[in-house]
Amino acid sequence: NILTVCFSVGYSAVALNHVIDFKEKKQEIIKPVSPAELFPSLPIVQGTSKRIKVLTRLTLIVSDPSHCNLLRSTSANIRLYDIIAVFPKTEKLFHIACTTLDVDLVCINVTEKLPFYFRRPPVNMAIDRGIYFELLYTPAIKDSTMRRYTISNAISLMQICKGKVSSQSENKPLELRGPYDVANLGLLFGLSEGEAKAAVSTNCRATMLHGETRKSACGVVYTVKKPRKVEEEETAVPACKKAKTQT
Amino acid sequence: HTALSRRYVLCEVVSEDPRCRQCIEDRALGLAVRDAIARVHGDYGLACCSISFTVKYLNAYTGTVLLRCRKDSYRLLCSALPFVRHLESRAQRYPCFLNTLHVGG
Repeated sequence: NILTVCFSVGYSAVALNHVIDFKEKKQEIIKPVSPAELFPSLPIVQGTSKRIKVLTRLTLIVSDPSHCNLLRSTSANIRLYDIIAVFPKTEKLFHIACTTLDVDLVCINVTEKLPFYFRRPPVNMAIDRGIYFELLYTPAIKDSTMRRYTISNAISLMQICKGKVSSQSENKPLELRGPYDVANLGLLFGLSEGEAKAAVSTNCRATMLHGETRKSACGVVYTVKKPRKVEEEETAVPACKKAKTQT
Repeated sequence: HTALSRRYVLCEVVSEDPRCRQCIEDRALGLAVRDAIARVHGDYGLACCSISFTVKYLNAYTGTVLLRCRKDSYRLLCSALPFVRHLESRAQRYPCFLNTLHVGG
């Protein structure tokens, strides 16, 4: 139902999210639902002649370092997901997620007073590795108090991660918003117009490509020569595999 | 000599309930949008947007709505549109959302 709304509202790619919360017992990573089974024929993106892409995504809610072992193991099922996102609950885990974990997205809960402050070095490292930060916009739409927390947390997040953000919606079809409107929400969260539009388009596409490089274990998928912006602080480049995607 | 520049915002009403289409009329829509602006941008925002704000055109059959506002306040209007959650008319309230399609001058 929500997917039909997504399609009609103009999104060209949708990721089906499977959430795993390690606080609950006995969490196993199962194989992702194959989109082909759900949709024998995918509708066409509005205004073009291409079909809508449906991807699979896994979100891991981690509150303890032992939960991350799953990501490091060569579990076959994890490799089947197109996008992997992690939701760190502590500052140490946030640091680990930004610097070493092999993920595509780091989710930030903006609906409460954050239990930890963002520091610049891990955030810069995550940006260099091609990881984007993500926030949920649906609580802001529903409730006034949530809206205040979301906006203030989002603004501080934007300031520190230089706008490398994408956004996520929740489950109910009527709480979804179209791409143009989500970009407008980005303006409220302190992004510039270009950054807000990128948050719905280029950043998401970069995340998809990042997921593809992770799956295929290549270093680079898509390269375009682009003038590099000079960063103020020089951060140490991690020695591990760096998947660089720039569109 | 200041030109009166206006912005036109085209959106569509998306709802799960087909009866929501009955509420698509200028008064109900104007109220819903104004209420969203007041909730998000407060009294200042509502006051700014109210200058030259009007529902210029609507089509209940297709759910299309054309809003007009001043060029100076179109950002306030556009950033408040995602916060419209329902339309109310004749004591009936139906949940829905507005999908912005295009903004033109």
